[in-house]
Amino acid sequence: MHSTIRHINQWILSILLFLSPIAYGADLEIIIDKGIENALPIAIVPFGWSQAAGLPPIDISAIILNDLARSGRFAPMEEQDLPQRPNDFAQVNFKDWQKLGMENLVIGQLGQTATGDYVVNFRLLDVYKGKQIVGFSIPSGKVRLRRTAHEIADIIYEKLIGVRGAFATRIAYITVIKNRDGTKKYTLQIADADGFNPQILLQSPEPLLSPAWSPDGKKIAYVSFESKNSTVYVQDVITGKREKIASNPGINSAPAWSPDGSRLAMTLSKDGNAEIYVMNLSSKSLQRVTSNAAIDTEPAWSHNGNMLAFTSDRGGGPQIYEVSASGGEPKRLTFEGPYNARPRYSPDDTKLAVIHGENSVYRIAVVDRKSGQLNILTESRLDESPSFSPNGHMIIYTTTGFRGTELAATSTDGSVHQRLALEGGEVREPAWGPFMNQ
Amino acid sequence: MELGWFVKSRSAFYAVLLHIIAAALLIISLDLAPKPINQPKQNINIVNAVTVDKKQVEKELQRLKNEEQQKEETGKKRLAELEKKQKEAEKKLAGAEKKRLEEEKKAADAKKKKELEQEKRELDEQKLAKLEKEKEELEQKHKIEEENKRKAEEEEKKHKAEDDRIRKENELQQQLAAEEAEIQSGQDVQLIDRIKANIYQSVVNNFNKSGLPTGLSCILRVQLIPGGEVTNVTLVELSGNSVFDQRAVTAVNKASPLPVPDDIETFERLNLRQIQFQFKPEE
Repeated sequence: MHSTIRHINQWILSILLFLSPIAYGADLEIIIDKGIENALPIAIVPFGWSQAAGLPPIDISAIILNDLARSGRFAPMEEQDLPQRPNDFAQVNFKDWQKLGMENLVIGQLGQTATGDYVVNFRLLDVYKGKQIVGFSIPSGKVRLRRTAHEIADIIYEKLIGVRGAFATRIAYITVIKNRDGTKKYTLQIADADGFNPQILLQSPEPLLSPAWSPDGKKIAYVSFESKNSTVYVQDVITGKREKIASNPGINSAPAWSPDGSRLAMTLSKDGNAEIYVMNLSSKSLQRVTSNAAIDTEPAWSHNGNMLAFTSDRGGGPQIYEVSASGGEPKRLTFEGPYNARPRYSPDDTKLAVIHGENSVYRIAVVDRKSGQLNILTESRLDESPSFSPNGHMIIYTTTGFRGTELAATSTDGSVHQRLALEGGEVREPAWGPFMNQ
Repeated sequence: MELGWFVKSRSAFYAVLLHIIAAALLIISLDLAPKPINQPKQNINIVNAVTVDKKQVEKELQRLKNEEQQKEETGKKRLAELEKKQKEAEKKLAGAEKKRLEEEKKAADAKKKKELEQEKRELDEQKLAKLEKEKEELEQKHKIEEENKRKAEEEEKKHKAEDDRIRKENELQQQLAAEEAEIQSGQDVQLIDRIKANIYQSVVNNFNKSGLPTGLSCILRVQLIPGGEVTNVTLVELSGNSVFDQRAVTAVNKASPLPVPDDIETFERLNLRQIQFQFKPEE
């Protein structure tokens, strides 16, 4: 009985202390108003392979690792630094990874079924919680395996970055090969976003230019000089069937799709001067958008469908202007430097990627549409043709150095640059395709 | 108090019960007293023999005859007298006998009575002894109960004194603690600021806001143990962006153990077992 009294006494004491004027009772409150901006540490353990005999058809974990590294958002652990190589959850010793400051871990296995198909099992693990963040078992096939690896990278990206990954997407580009007789061979190609699996859509001895993906990823619009004069075509990616869209006297160039895929903005000089026009693809009717004595070209369509950005030298040198898609008075967006050209809207329409030229050095820059602030992302002497990834986190472009013109990618913040090695000569005008939903 | 009343009422009950038992026994014992036994029989026989000469006898006889006649007459008389006497004696004897018998009976009765009395006395004595023994036991019991009661009261008194002492001690401790706390509070304010700054830096260094949208905020409640090890992180207010929330949780887990004073007493005094973090990065 008296021990209860004693407890009550202690309880009262603690209450009194709790209420004492120094007020230790309240939790300590700390406001974290800063942080670091580092690539996320991630470890991708080489995937297990179910068949003891023979090697796996592809190295899935290596593809995932390269994707994540190329994004600039991840700092994958070097393979020789891995403290262990678990293939399933039970084998993971989280303490080992925590000691190394590793936050995330990817493990998995590639299996082959009796019918010869493949199954990829993977798990993304939170090292500090000791829990699985996400895990999937994805059926695949031999041709599809690379795609499956990119899809896994997309899932990881979305879970850890908060934005859909764009690794399982494709790019379109033009290659130029010099023949021995001095003539050139132009090809329109598409490939995986990492440059693998190239596929030729069109070959021509005359220049091919400005490939542009339809919003559904099924068609590509481009400019061909095969009939000596520039012509705009729209070609089905799968069937190869193509349609001549614009072959007016003078310039027919720079096609840009409306976000709903029903219209195409182009530069035409059929009326004497290079102006921006919009064509309704079903009716083929044309609407002129700009009307100025200077050159207006390289239109880009905003993703909300309302605006067109274009390059114009109406101010004395090439600068970026923006006009309503239904026409009106254009508004100048860029003021920094003597040369800003070839705009592309970011997927959220807040920024424009441009080629920024100064003192004969051309680099990729991003312009904030609201503030007009310009941020240069690349460091070479001749960087051109920026194109946003569909999630807006990367920009693909060409860079010209002593090895010729190559594909390169940069993160939108400019922190990471990577060359994409493609076989076969010079690469021009890459266009990053949309998300593929199938 | 309750116990005392109970004991008392119980002993009273026992006393009454014993008396009833004693009375009952007494009545039964009277009924069971033994019946008086028969007197023993008495037999008495007396024999007389005499020899005499014939002439003499004749003369004598004559004389005797005369005498005898005389004697006879007198004898008859005497016999009658004797008989009378005898009768009287007999009568007297019978009276004496009767008296003796009566006396004997009286004595036997007395003896019997005495024996009965003795028996009764013994029985009574036994009963008394039993009663006394019971009484003694009852008294002993009572005594023990009293003793227990006394002890319990004493104990209670002691506890009360102890509790009073503890309360006073606690009060004193509180007072002391309050005084100490007042002195300490000045130092503690500085100490807390320093600890906060250290923890802040440690968490900031592990909070990777790379690629996250701006303008987000979340609140975490973090449990620590002495030494600073993080044992539990709870999201008490979400930012609406799960990746942002997750990065905040990871920042705290990665910063574990948080830099807190090694000294457990200070750790407890400053109430560092729970810390609330608001993640609210500026642009």
